[in-house]
Amino acid sequence: MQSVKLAWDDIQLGTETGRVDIAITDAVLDFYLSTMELDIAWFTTGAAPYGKRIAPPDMVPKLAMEPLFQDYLNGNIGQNIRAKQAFQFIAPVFVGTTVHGVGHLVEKYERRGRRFVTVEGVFTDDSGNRLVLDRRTQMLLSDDFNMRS
Amino acid sequence: MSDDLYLDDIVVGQELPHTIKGPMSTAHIMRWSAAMENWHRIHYDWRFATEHDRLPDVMVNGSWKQHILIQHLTNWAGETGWVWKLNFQFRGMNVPGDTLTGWGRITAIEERGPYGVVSVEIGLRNQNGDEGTPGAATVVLPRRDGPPVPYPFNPACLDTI
Repeated sequence: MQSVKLAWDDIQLGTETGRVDIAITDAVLDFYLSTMELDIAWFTTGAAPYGKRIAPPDMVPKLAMEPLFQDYLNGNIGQNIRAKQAFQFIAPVFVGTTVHGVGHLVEKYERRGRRFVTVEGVFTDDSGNRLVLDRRTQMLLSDDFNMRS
Repeated sequence: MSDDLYLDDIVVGQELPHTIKGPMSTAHIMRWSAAMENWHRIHYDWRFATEHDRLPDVMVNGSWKQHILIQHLTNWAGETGWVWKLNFQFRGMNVPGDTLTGWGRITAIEERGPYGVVSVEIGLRNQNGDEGTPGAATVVLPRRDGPPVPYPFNPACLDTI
C-alpha cells in the first residue's frame, strides 16, 4: 500500500478538494451515450419536454470525479474505495452549458474499525443555478488508516 | 422508457420493471474506464487486481453500476416524472461475467401539492440474486389531471396548492 500525506487527525472538514469546469458539448454527450449504449430521445435529439439535448443526469458527476475528488483523495489520503453515494438532480443539464463544479470534504468518521471520508460536489451553471449535488463516502484502504491491522 | 407515468398509476408495493445489463465483459469495463478517464488499475490490470489488491478479478466500475440504477429509474419515471434523489451503497463487488439486474419497489407515496413524492427501494442483483448495491430513490410524479412536473425541477413546487 502507498503511504499517505495526511494523518487522520490532519484531515480537515471544509477542505476544498477540487474545482472543475466542464463544457457539455454534442461530442462529449455522443461519446458518453455510445459508451453507455443509450438511445433515449432526450439525450440524442432533444425530445419534449426539454426541446434540446440534455445529458444523462449522472454524466456530469462522473466526468468530474477525478479532478473534483479523486485527485485530492489519492494524493493526500491514499487508496480509497467508494462505500456510499447520494445524488440530487435539481435541473437538466443542456448541451451548450458549461458546468462548474467544486468539491469539499464534509465528513469523516470511524465505523467497525474502518475510516471513512465524505466529499460533496456542487455543480452549477454560469448563472450560479444548482444543477446536481453529489455526495460520496469513501472507505480508506491505506494501512495508515486501517484500525484493524 | 415508459411512455407517461402518473401518480394515479402506482401503488405502494408495486415493482418496477427490471433493467438487465450483461453479462459484463472486460470490454465493457475498459470502454467505461476510457469514457470516464478512470485509470484505476483494478479495472484493467488483472495481475494488479488479483495479486496486489487481492481481488477476485478486475472490477466492474462502481460508476457504471450507479449509472444502471439511474437509467433504471429514469426509464421508469418516463417523460412525466422527475428522478429527484438517489442514494445507494456499494456492498458487493462485480466482476466480468456478472449479469446485473436493476430492481425496484415502491415503499411510500406522499401527496405534496399537486404532485406525488414517491419513495422507491432499489438495488442491483447479480445472476445469483446477491444484492450488491442497495439504495433508495425519490421520484416526483404528476397526477393525470394535474400540472406537469416543472422543468427545471424546483422542490418548492411540492408546496404549492
